Parts: sequence; C-alpha cells; structure tokens
Amino acid sequence: MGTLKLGRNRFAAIAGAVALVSSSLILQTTSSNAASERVLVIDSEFNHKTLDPQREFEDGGNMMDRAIYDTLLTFKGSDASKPVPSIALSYTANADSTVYTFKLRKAARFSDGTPLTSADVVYSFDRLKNIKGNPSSLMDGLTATAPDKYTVIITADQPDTAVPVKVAGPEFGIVNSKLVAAHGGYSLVGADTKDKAENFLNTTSAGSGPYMLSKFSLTTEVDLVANPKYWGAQPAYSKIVIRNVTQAVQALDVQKGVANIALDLSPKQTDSLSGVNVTAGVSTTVWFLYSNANPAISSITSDPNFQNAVRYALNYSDLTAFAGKGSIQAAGIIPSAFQGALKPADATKQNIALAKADLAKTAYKGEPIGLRYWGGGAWEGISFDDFATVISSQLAAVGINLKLEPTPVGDALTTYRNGTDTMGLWFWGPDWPDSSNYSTNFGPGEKVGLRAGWAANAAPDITKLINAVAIESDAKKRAAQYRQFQLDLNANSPFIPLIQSPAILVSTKNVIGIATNPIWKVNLTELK
Amino acid sequence: MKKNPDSPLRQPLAVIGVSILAIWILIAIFAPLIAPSNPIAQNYGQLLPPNSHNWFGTDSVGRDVLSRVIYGARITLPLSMMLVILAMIVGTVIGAIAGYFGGWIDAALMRFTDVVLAFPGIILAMAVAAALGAELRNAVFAVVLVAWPTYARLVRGLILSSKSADYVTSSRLLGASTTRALFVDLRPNISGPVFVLAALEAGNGMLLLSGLSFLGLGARPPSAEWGAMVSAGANNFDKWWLAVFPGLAILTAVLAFNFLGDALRDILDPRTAKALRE
Amino acid sequence: MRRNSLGTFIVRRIAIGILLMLGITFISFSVTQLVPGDPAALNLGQSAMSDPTIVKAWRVKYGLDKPVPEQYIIYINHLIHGDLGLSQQSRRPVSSDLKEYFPATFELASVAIFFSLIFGLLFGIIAAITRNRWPDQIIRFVTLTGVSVPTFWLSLVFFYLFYFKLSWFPSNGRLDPGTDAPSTITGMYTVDALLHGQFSLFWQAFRHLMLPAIVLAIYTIAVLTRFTRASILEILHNDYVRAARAKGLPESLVIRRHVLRPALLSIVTVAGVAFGNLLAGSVLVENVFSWPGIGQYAYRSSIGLDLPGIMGVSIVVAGIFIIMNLLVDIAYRFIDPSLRHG
Repeated sequence: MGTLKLGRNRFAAIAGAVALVSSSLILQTTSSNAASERVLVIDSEFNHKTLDPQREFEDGGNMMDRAIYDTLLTFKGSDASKPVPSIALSYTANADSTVYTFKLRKAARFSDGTPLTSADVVYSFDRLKNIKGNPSSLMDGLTATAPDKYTVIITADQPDTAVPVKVAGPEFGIVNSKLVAAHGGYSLVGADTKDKAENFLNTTSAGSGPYMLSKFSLTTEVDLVANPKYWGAQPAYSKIVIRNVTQAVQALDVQKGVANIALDLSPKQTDSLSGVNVTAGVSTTVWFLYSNANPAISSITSDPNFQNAVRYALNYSDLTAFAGKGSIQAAGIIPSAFQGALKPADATKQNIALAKADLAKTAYKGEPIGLRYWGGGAWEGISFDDFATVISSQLAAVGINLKLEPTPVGDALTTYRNGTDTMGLWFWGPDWPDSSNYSTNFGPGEKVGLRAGWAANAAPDITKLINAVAIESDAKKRAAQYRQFQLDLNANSPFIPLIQSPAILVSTKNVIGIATNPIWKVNLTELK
Repeated sequence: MKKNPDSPLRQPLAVIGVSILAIWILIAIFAPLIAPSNPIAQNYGQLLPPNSHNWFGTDSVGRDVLSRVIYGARITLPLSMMLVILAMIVGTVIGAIAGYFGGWIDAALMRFTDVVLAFPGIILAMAVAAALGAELRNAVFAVVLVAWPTYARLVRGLILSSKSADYVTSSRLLGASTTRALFVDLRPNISGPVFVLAALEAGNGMLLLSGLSFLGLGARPPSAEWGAMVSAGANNFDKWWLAVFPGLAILTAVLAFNFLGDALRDILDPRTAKALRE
Repeated sequence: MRRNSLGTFIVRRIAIGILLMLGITFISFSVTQLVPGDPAALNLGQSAMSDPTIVKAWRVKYGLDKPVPEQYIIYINHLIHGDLGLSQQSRRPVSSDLKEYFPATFELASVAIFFSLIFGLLFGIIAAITRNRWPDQIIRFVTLTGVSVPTFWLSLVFFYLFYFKLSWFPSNGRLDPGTDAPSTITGMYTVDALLHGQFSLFWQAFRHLMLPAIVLAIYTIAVLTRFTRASILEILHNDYVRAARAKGLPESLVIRRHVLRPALLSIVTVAGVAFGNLLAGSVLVENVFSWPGIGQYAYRSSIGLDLPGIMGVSIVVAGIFIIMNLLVDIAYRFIDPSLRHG
C-alpha cells in the first residue's frame, strides 16, 4: 500500500512535468530575420543532381544556375524563343548559319571581381563539350573560339539555326575559368576523366550572376545570397532559400505564408487555395502516345489504320480537363511556344465514327494491347497512372482494349528506348528551346522515331522535309516547313500528341514579377 | 482446472476483435452486392467531398471512394492472410528441421535465421520490392521474406523443449520413425502456439504490406489497395477523405487481428505464452 | 572469475556479430542483383544513354562492368577499409551520405525513445497495478490501437491537424527556412546548438523534432506499456514474491528487489530492441515529414535502385541492430549475472 501512494506522487510529478513541457512547446516562437534582409523562401521538389552548369540537365538545376551564372544571351519573362542580350551585347550570323559572332560587353565581372572575357566563354563551352556529361550533346558539331578579348565566334559543322537559343541555356553558363581551373577544372579533350571541379562548384559558385551559392544539398535546402559585386542592378532579395518539400506540403506551406512560392502544385490543388496568387502558364512539355510502327513488334499497332483509330477516338477536351486549368491540347508535337507550332485550329479533333471505321479496316479483334508507362510516376503534377487510366477508358469506348502496364521507371525507360513497347505513354521536354529539337528526334529513323518503331525509310517525304528545314536559313520558311512536318505526323505516323501540361506557380501576394518560364521554371533574378 | 480470470469469454476486447474480422470478411465476400458502384468506374466528378451520392467522396479520376474501400478488402485481407500462411509454413519447416535434427544443421539454419532477423524489416522489404519491381505480388514476397524468422525461432524452441518429453522418447523407443514422431506426436504441442503467433503477426504483416504500397512499392493502379489509396491521399492533403477512410480500414482490420491474437495468447498456458512474447 | 566470463561472453558475441554482418552483406548484395532493370538508365539523361561511351564510363565508375562474384569480393574488400562505395544518385561516397543523414535519425529516435520510456513504464505500471479494472481496460484498448495504427497514416493525420490546422508545430525540415545549422560536432542540431550555447537555435530544432518524434513514439509507447504490464503481472504472482511477502518483508522492499529488478531486465531488452527499430523503421515517418534521415535515404536508394546506397544503408542499419542487441545482452548479464543465457 505504501508503494502505491509513492507511485501516485511520482505519477503526479511526472504528469506535471510533461504538461509543463508540452504547453511551452505550443507557444509560438518565430525565427528572427535581420531587418535589412529580404529573404525569399521557395518550396520545390528537388530534382537537381548538381549545380555545375556544364553537368546539370534538370529544370531544378536550370532555375538555380540561371541566378548564379550568366549566358551570352537570355530570355525575358515567360519567353523561350526570342533571345535578348546578356553578356553578349550583339551577335551576327553568316548566310548559311554556320558562323556566329558574339560581341561581349566589357563591364561584366565574376563574383570575386575578376573581369569576364572571351577566354572564360571559350573555357566554359569547351568544358561543356569535353566533360561528356548529360548536356554535352548541346555542343555537338559546335566549336567556340576567341579572336580577341571581347569577341567569341561559334562555328557549326552543319547549318544550325538554333545556336542563339541554345547558348541561352543555363548549361552554357559562363564560369570563372581561372578559379575553376585552380580547383581541378579541365576544359580540353579528356575532361571527362580529368575535370574534378564539380564538388568545388557545388560548394562555391564561380559565376557572374546576381546570386552566389551559399548552401548546397541534394535533399534538403539550397541557399543563394546576393552577389555584392554584381555588374548589373542588385536583385530585390538578399537571400533566396529553396527547400525540398513534397508537393502536398507545398500547398500547406504557401497558404500559411511559410513559403513564398510553391513550384510544383497541380491545377486541381490550386482550385481550393485561398489568399495566394496563382500564375498559370503552359509548359513546353508535350505528352504523347505512340503506337509501335514496327511490324515485328505488333502487326496491329503498326497498321496505320489502327494508329489513326486511336488518334480519332481520343476525347482531347476531356484530356485537357483531366490535366487541369491551363493545359491545352497539343496541336502537334512541337509545343505552342516555339516558331512553327501548329495553331489550335489545326489540331486533331475527336471523330468517333472515323475511329470506328478505321478500326474496322484493321485485323484487330478486341485482344488486349499493352500500354507501357512509368508506373507511380508523375510529371508537372500529372500522374502517369491516372492519365493512362483516363486514356484507356476513352479508347475502350470505341472498342480498343488497352492493357495497362505500369512499370518501374528504370525498366520503363529501358523498354521505351529499346523500341519494344507495343504502345507507350511518355512526354518530351525540349533539350533546347527550338523546333529543331523535334525535327531531329521525332522523324522516321531518328531517336524517338526509332523508339516508336518508325524505321528510317518508312516515310521518305517526311525525311526530305526534315533535311530541307535543317538547312533553311529563312525563319518564315522554316516555320512553314515545321508546320507541314507536324501536319504530316498527325496524318500518318505512330505519334499521337495529347496535351501540353500546365505550368503553375503559386505565390504569396507580396511577390511581384513572377512568370512561368519553360526552361528555368521561374526567373529568380526577376522577382521583386 | 483453475478458473482463468483472463478467459476470452470475460474479455470484451476479444469478442470485438472477432466480430470486426467477421464483418470485414463478409464485406470482402459480398463486395459486389454492397458497393454502390464499380471501383474502377470513373463516373463522378473528380475530388468531390463526401456527399449523398458518394458517402466517402471521390478520388482524382472520379472513382467512388466507398466502393474502393469495400473492394479493397478483397485485396488486402486475403493477401495478408496468404502472407501469414506462407511465412508460417516456411518458418515452421525451417524451425522444425533445425529443432529436430539439431547439430550443425540446427546451427547453420539458426545463424541464417539470425542474419535475416538482424536485417531491419522494412528496409529489407523495401529493397526487395524495389529490386523486383513494384507489384503487389513482389511486395507480398518481400514481406514473407522478412516475416518467417519469428516462426522458425518459435518452432525450434518448442521442439527443443518437447524433444525430451516422455511421450516422444517412448514413441521412438517403440520404433516410430522420425517423421511420425514429428508429425503425430509433436504437432499438437506446436500448432497451438504457431497459430497464435500467426494471429499476432497478421496485423504486422498487413501494416508492412500496406506500408510498401504507400511508398509505391506494392499495389499499382487501378487496384483499390488501401495503402496505395492513402498514398494518393497524401498528395492531396486538404482532400482529407482520400486518406482518412482507407487508413481507418487498415486500422480496424489490424486492430481486429491484434485483439484476437492477444486473447488467444492469454488462454494458453503461461510457459508457452512467455515463449511467444520473446 | 565472473569478470572473465563476462569478457569471453563479449568477445564471443562480437565475433558472432561480425559473422552476422558478413551474412548481411551477402543478403543485401543478393538483393541488389535481383534488379531486372538497368541502373544506368535511371541515372543518366536520355541523350547520355544513347552515347555508348558515356554509358560505359558510368558503368566503370560504379564497378558494374565486372562479373558478379568479383563485384562482391571487391565490395567486401572496400568495406573492410571503410569505403562503402559511391552512391549513384548523389555521386558522393555512401559513407559521407550516411554521416550526414544518420545524426538526424539518431536525434529523432532518441527523443522518441525518451518519451516512450517515460510513458511506457508509467502506463504499464498503472495497468499492472489496476489489473482488469477500468484503468487497465482503457490502457489495454488504447495501446492495442496504438500498435495497430498505420504509422504513415498517423503521420499524415498529425501533420494536417497539428501543423496546418492548429499551427502548433512548424513545417518540414529540421530548422526554419534559411536558418543556418550549428557547426557540426555531433551532427544532431539540438545537441550541437546546446554545446555552442545557442539556446534559441536549440529550441527551434527541438520544435521541428517534436511532431515526427511523437508519431514514432506512439507505437513504441504502446509496445512498452503492454510489455511492462505483462512483465510486472508475471512477476507479481511468482513464488519469490509470495515467499518474500510471507516472510513479512516490507512491501517496498519486495517491489524493489523482486519485482522491479527482474522487470527491468525484460524492459531493458525490449527498449533496446525498440530503439534499434526506431532507428531503422522510421522510414515511413521520415517519408511523410521529409525528415533527412537514413530512413529517407534508404527509401530513395531503393526507389532509385542506387545499389551502393541500398547496400550501405542495409549494412549500417543492420550493424546498429546487432550492436544494440549486444549492448542489451551485456546489460542483461550485468544487471543479473545469476541468469545464464547462452
């Protein structure tokens, strides 16, 4: 009995202590910010693998490196097609688009005060080519030289009309060559084994942009601080904190004001948000279906009548409704932001009668056709699983029976790239912001064409068109040729373009100057 | 026989446990009759909160959540029970061989069991499920791989302590073969605790399986597995009905197994009950 | 004489532990070989994959170009020298990754076990003493619910309620956004902040810890309560206690010597195992709260099929398990050397 009483007293003491601790936990404590600092907090789902500009290839890395490194030319706001001067004040091209001459401004300097000259530009471009990382293919066929301190010449083996838009990409970010070389950087042939500067660039940035890297992580937080020695106008925010937060929590954070910008919300999530600004744009990501054109893979899917049956059976307005506010039907495989994109009037329209008629011309008897895709994956807020489910129920309405094959991403990518899937659901984000990225990938015998089983000699007219547009130097004529290319693809090819995803930025009301950009999501340097 | 104050009839919790399980089993069997609509039919508006048509609301492609929870019982319950039975069989066989033959067979098998036990369950299960590919079948396999050692240890322990029992020795003296000794004489003493362990472990198995599906390593859409449904709910925090109802389903089913297991353990004699607690 | 036997016991257990670790490496290596897909496809971009020289360079870098048994031997060789290989996702040594992520989980698990011990013992004792009366029934029901609730679901519910709706706790992450971590001594922000005398930083880190720690603790509290109750009940009715009471010894002495001491043994065992479980099994909680610990690391390695990452995490976590078990066994023997467990 004695111990029981002792027990009770002890219990009371412990309970009291616990109550005290928990009530003090509930008290709010806010973190203090220095009055002069303006800090911007961004919630993002991290996908960057590095911030070494010549190695990075993800849009997360693009966003961060855009603020740290300058490029010869750049884009303003949401534009991704008309380059404007940055480090290069002007440029000229020769008649057949094989030589570009850039004149650099003299006032640019790096964050440590060193002036930026053509030697740094050539170093960076050489490094991009020779490091053989993910973005190295952007320098294919290109060579950079520096005839004098403030001139850079880029020569192309083949006529290349896309050079000005290519050099605006953050992969072409200009690094401080002396600093990088002093920390293990190597730009010449052999850089794939000799360059050891990645770790340095992931801890201390070596750029000339308005921000410098102050904290780096692949999984928690990346911090940028304003560059006091920046050669242009000081940015409005002295510190930008980018945190890795899952999409669902981003919605909560931005509503509570814990974060100023949420990058990865989908349109459906924004429907129920209040007290925030929603900036909706259209992404340059195009989702497409393909029906394998290789008869060895399937005699059904390679039949053009089956391909067209799928094409006309889909309810495109339901697909855009599924993807959410801001998405549009992909009229052709080239996204609306680029020169030569098709107008909405030219887009494929649903025609159930035509679809059924085309299907009747094939040997299809209702057997299940496999549709393979990245199971559990999502891109820009659109879930592969859900999308495939919606598509399969639409096709079931005309009698096409799809067998959904969600596959882990490694396997899915492998079979996709090997061209062995009967049908596939994928998306394409441009490697560089120009229509040439599509004419060089989606034609017969080309990279994505082969994945869809489209052999090199399958459509000679289209191949002729592709070859013609590669050497055409008149921009208007090129645009017409790209349009024709897409119309041909929409009439007869394994590809069925579906939608362009919405690009949504959600921000608190005090952030000004926010615009979606297809290359770097949002231009951190333009925010006020 | 002493009047046992812990007998199941005096424990309301045990009765509740069995009732809940029975209800879920009935729901699973009669799903097509009970569910208001087809679980994969995308008939309704997307992400509707609970209303008079959809008591549990709808999900991101317009499917009725109530129907999906009901049909989910047809996936989660049988798979969990299958998982338990498989682990039980594998573990019992290995434990029986180790316990009966002794010697170096015992040592080798028990060291192997120790290694698998030393591996933290969810990490091994996650790695196996990810390696094999995200499918419910592979997730079940992964959980079985993680679960069998507990049975092996128990069975081996029980056999070791029974081996020296008189009735076994006399049976073998009379010339009975090893198999007969194992199956006929030892079995009654072993099957009881093993089944109780199965009831105790069934809940854990279900939690691990739905945990794997939550992480994306188990059930794939459009399958209406409860763990995968909670995962979809995690992507839409403010659409609380997506995660709450499947989660409650898992909770009640696991609770029922645990009630049952607890009650069964309490009616065993204390020595075996102690063996089960270790 | 006694010290010798404790010493040989420890040495023997360590030797067994090392053998177990070898077994673990074998199992985790086998698991990584189960992978049907191509890890290169996952980690290289589309353009890079179509260039065979880049793919080959990547394979050579991660040692994937050699035959399987040779890969295993090489791995063990590196392991002995403390090299856990290069993570395919982060491109850093796995050991650096683990060194960064481990303290976060350790911090979380420590806070969770602290709460679990307090409440687990408390409720277990109450339940045992008031056996079968209403406090016991309620506690038994609540704890059974506690072990039955899916942790991933509970994490979601708690996060929504206590962060979003009630604002009692801060959002994700170990600190408020933009705050610099204390300079690393242990890697645990709370401890490091205290060691540097930065009390407001300590408080901030602690507040961020609370919610995931509470969710983790709930399961462990339930387990510890049930176990404590069962242990105490078992002991209260055994012969030693009855004999001691019959001898007329004061109740407090009976409780202390014959009840608490043996109960402590079982509880220490369970608590040790529970702590090991917390370290390893926080995968689901860390996932929901985006807590940068080894649970998250294990998850991301599994999803991304980062083979060195998977192996590294498995080995380290299993190692912790084995060490915890060893410590528990030693403590067991220490507390009551009269018990002989082979």
